[in-house]
Parts: sequence; C-alpha cells; structure tokens
Amino acid sequence: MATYFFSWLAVAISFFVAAVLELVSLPDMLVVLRPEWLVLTVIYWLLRHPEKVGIAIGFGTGLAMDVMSGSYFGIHALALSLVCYLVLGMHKRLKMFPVIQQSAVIFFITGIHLMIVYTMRSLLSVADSGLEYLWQALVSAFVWPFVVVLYDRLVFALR
Amino acid sequence: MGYRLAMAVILSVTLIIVDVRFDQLDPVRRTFSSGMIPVQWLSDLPNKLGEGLVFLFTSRDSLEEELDLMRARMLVLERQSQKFASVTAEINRLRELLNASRLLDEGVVVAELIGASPDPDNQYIHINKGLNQAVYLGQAVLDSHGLMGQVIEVNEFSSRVLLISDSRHAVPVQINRNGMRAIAYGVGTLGTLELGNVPDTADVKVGDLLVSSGLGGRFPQGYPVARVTSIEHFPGRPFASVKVSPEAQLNRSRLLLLLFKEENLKRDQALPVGSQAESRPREGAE
Repeated sequence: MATYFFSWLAVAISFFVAAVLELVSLPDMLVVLRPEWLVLTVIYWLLRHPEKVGIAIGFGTGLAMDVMSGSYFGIHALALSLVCYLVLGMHKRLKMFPVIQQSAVIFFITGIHLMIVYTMRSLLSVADSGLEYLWQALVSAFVWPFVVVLYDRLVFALR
Repeated sequence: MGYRLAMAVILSVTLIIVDVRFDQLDPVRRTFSSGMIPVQWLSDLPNKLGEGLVFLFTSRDSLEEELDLMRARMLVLERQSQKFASVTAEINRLRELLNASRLLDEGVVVAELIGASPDPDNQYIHINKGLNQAVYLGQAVLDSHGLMGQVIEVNEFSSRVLLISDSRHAVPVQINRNGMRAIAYGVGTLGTLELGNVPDTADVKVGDLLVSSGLGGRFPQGYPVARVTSIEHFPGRPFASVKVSPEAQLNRSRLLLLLFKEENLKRDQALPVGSQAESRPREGAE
C-alpha cells in the first residue's frame, strides 16, 4: 500500500483557501449555491490521513465556521464533529468508490451537516429556510471531484 | 473514536448553551474574528480588483464628466446645508421658547464595507472600523440614502453590522407625512420590510416615507428608513399588511456612515453634520 506524504503546510494552505472561498461575496442569486468548502476540505483530509486528521480538527474548523457565519458558538462544531465521525466510520470503503459514487456520498454527508446546522439555528432563533440548503449540498457534491484533483495537486507540489 | 465524538458533542452542546444564555464568550469570539481579518481581506480582494479594473479602463472624458457632475451636486448640497444650519438654529431657538430640550446633532465617520454575510438567512455586513475608532455596540449605520442597520459586534479593527432587513431586526419608525408611529420588522429578504400591527383604518398610503422615530433610544430621530410599497387589507383581521422597501441600498453601498452621538464623538476624526455644529453653544445639550 502506498504511503502518502503528509505535510501540515498543505493542510494549512488548503484550509486557508477554503476559508477565503467560504467568505467571498457572491451575487444574491448564487448565495444559495455556495459549496461548503470547509466541510469538503475536512472530508478530503479525513480520507487521506485518517490517522492524523480526526474529530478534533473537525471540531476546530466548526468553531471557525461559527465565528465566520456569526452563529452561536458550537453549532457548526457539533455538526462537523458528527460528519467527521461518519466519514471516519466509512473512510476505507469511501476511498475505493469511483468518483461519481463518492460525490453521491458527499451529497448526503454535506446534507446532514447542513441539516444539523439549520435545525439548530431554527431551534435557537427565528430563521427558517425550508429545504433550500439541499442545493448547497448538491453543488458541494458536484464540486467534490475538482476539490480532490486540486488538493492532490497541492500535496504533490509540496512534496 | 466514539469516545472522542462524545467529547466533541458534549463540548459543543455546552458551548451552544453558554453562548445562548450568557455573554462570557464574546471576548473569545472577538479574538477569533480579529484573527480572521487576513481571510476577510483576501475574500474581498475580487471585488477590489474588479473595481480597480473598471477604474483602469475608464476613459479620461467620462472621469471628467463624473467630476463635473459631482461638483455640481456638491454645490447643490452645500446650498441646502447652508439653509439647514440656519433652520436648525431656528428650530432650537423655538424649542428653547417652548422649554423643550435642544436637538442633538450627530457626527459621522465614514466606514467602508469589507465583507458581507455568506449566508442568506443572516443578513449582516462587516465594516472596516472597530474599537480603534471608538465604534460601540448598537451604533447606527447609514448609507447616503437611509438607515442600513446597527453594530452588533465590535472587534479591534472591524465590526459586524446587522442590516434592517434581517429577520431578527426591528426599527421604530414614523410616517413622515403625519407622524404615525409603527415598527418596521425585517423579514429576511433584502428588498422588503414589514410594518407590524398597523390598524386597518390607519392613515398609510403607498409612497409614504418612513423615518426613524428615535423611540427606543437606539436610532437617532429623523433618518429615512423605508418607503411604503404595498398595503393589503384583510376583512376579518384587525391589522393590515403593510410592505415597505428600505431606502438604503442594502446590497450595493460600499461607503457607509457610522453615526456618533455627540457625547461619544471623537472630535478629531468625526465630521459634524451641520456646518454650525462647532459654533453652537453646547451647555444646552441634554
């Protein structure tokens, strides 16, 4: 089995880029179509290095997302920790899947993440947004193959 | 692994409860978001670059034209503000005759937009002024057309402004034409706000201008907030449904004004609104 080269620098760069993409201001029409860049990044590193990147990283990223989106502390952290647990549970199978099938799984996983976030938010304040977040999950699934290719390139460049 | 998950879940649930109930976590949030500033700056870069490109390809002629237009506009506005100063003085004299308290003048600081909410359900923006410019919680923010929102979070170099269209926001307003008071609630879409509990028989017309009423003490009185766009009456219901559209360009303005009440005004950096605000005696202030 091939051993992957691991560098925290690549992790840091990918998270930084994802955070910037998460905050880039989009025209109003496209806001509901923003992929969950940070969630995808966490999933990517979980699949690549499940022994190094785990629930703790997911939790920390979730806290950062809470700060960026101005929601209550801990909502995204809770959702992302659960997502990390799910992905860690099936990472061996997920890695073997062809890309299309991976994307389908990513759709469900980001959907679960968004569902937890929106449910918590509507429990704690008045916002309610129907099922629009499924579009975000769909776009995330669509973007996933490109994310994988890009991050693979990044890791390769830093080798 | 399950053990780690349990820890993360317990920790985040505790965090949520603490954050909902108490405000001890605010300093943590402030440090975190001060650390986010490079990310925020970078995420605004595409906009800045776009503007730069537009500027690069603007012809000299159109710039000159724009300059002429602005000069003309400035002249018109200056004339109006000349009158404004004398009218304020006049009003204050009249109010003194009535033994009423003097009208306070506000100062403004110009702030720039550096980021907007990535999430359609939370409508807020980030501006580039923070604790270093004495921005305070609850401060009113305007653009050149009307009220935009209020400051809800202050960091060292930036702050977060909740827009009046957010579904958690409400502004006390009055109709400029007849002084009728109402409350304008945000509903979560940028283009509309709703007036709450307006009686069916109330004197509201489409096109009425709503200005902030100053009740509640958060927003100063008299700034334009919105204009009435539609009124619907439902037989059998006590209240009419009145939709209004905000005057401020909530999703377009990049230059904003932070409003300082006179006691919070830092004299060296804020420009007074009326040109006579400096010379006016201040002991009569509330």
